[in-house]
Amino acid sequence: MAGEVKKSGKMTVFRTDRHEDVAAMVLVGCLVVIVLCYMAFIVPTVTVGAPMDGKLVAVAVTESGMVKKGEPLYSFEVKEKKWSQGKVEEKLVVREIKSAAGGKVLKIVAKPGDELKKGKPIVVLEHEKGTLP
Amino acid sequence: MEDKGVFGKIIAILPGLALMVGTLWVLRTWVEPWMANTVLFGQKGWLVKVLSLNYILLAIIVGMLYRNLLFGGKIPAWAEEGFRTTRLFIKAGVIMLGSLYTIQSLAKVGGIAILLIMTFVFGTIFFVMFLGRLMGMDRSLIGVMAAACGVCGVSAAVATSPAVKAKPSDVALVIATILGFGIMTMFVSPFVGKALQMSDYQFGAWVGTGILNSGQVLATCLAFNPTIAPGTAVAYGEIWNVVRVISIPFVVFFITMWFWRAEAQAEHLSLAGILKDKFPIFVIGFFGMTFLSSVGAIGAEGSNTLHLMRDVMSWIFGIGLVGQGAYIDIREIKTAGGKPLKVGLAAGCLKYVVALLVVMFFVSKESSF
Amino acid sequence: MSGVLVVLDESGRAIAEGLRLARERGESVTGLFVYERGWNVYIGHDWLLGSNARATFMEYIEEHEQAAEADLRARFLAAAGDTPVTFTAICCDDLEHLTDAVIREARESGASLIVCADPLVRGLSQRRGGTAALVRGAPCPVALVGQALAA
Repeated sequence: MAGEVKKSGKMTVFRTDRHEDVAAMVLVGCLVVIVLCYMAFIVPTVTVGAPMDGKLVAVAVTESGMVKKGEPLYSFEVKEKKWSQGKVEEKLVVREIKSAAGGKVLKIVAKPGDELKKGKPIVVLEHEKGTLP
Repeated sequence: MEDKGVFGKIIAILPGLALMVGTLWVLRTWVEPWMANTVLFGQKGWLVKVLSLNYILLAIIVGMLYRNLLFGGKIPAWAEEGFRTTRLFIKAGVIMLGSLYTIQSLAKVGGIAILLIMTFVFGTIFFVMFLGRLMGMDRSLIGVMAAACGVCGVSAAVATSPAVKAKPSDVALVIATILGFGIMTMFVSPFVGKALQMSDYQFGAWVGTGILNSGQVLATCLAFNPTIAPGTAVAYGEIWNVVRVISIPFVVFFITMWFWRAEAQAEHLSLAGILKDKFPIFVIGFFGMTFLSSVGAIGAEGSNTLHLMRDVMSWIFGIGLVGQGAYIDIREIKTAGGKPLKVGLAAGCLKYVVALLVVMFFVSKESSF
Repeated sequence: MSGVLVVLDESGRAIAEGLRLARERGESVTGLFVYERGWNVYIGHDWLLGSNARATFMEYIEEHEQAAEADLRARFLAAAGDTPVTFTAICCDDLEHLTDAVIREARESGASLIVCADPLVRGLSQRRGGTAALVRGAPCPVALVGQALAA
């Protein structure tokens, strides 16, 4: 029995750390491809929501109208925090939100003047297949 | 252990992985909303607002509870294979974080990061060398301690110890010390950051410079602000982290040179060799993601695509962090002591406090991107 | 096989005491060396270790363990002199603690007494509760050889 010693245990699930590094890159590659394909081809409609808490000022598109990539969708008023001399200064700014992809406007959910929490839906779009909304 | 083949390996991973994913799912769908709405001490969401609890911290805490209470100190065999995938998830998350930056923004912040980190890394290394010699520590132990306090905690200690012929039992002691300190800072830093009203940029810079273990930098930033987007704590902290991770081979080279100086072995050392052996190649994936985001291949800022991508990222991190918590064995850490503890605490605290002062006085609250 | 199981460690304190106890009881004596395999889990904290740093470290540990085995085997055999002894090297699983493997070996070999240095200076055992688990789980009496006895 003497000297009969089994070798070192496994490193990780993978043979070496280099394998693990490569596996992590492959995993990320797969995830990115899945996300991109899902968003470009599978998801039927996208809902553009409020980027943060704020107020909807104006909607630049009309229901069942078309919108091109980079065209404004709506303007949104938000409180912007700015640091100056160790204090937070809050300033109201109006931001114009542009469409990330071209497509058809299916529905406008919110109306100008609405106070919206982050993520609340504003516009529902049917984007052109193959583009990233 | 016999070779189980690819299929067998995947089956073996499932139970542990399911536990990690399930835990995170419960935390995100049930526990977090419950915490936000619970009235405690007359304040709604007291747990979130005062204790700064979020799913990231909870994931680590629950992981720790699994290991230390539920499993009685040891990860059981059925879960072990799954928990071993922890590092894969964390690495994948770090690679995906590359998508938060563009090449321009990296170039902008990277300069400050490199300057701060190099100053602190080598400052700490020299301090540890000085203090270690003062306390009559063994040269190889000084080498490991300097690497561990200087760069990335456990990673750097593990990378350096074979080169400086450190005694394994000493390495174990150094690791216990570094982890103890790191875990303490992980839970304390978010409070300090909130109390001092630090901005995300400052917090990322401070934590990225001052915390010893690179993994804990990530967790601390997410604990401070769990949002994953450009301009949040994790986005800044991660730049610091990546610079540190890249610097490991250089630090190993430096410390090895110092250890073997005036000896024949020093002549056989080459930076190229160490780089080839120790360069963390997953960092290349990180820059790959930055490139993709710079050319706009993964959706425009504010698009639903990026939103989904970041959601995926937060899940990946969350799963990894449950596993990470389960690797923390409090009993192991409690055995830390002796000279490594004294030197480690001195160097760790000094770095932590000086980094805080430097960031508070010299880094503007306003971020550069 | 029934006899005294001497757990070998870097302090070497258990060797002389183990041999003496075996002689006193008129039993055979086995020197037990356990390979520490817990390092992989122990350094599992480190999240961002890239490339071959971990592999190099594990190889380095392996070299250390082999050197320790050779050294302790020589010390044990030298201390035994003319007394017939056996030397066994076993390996703990990477989830086990070192003392778990000692308990397993004691059970399998039907040892009547375990002699072990306290503190046990072997691998990660000082970071992992030392001999406490051994005393709790051993299938036979355990003689702990402390500093006072060795002096």
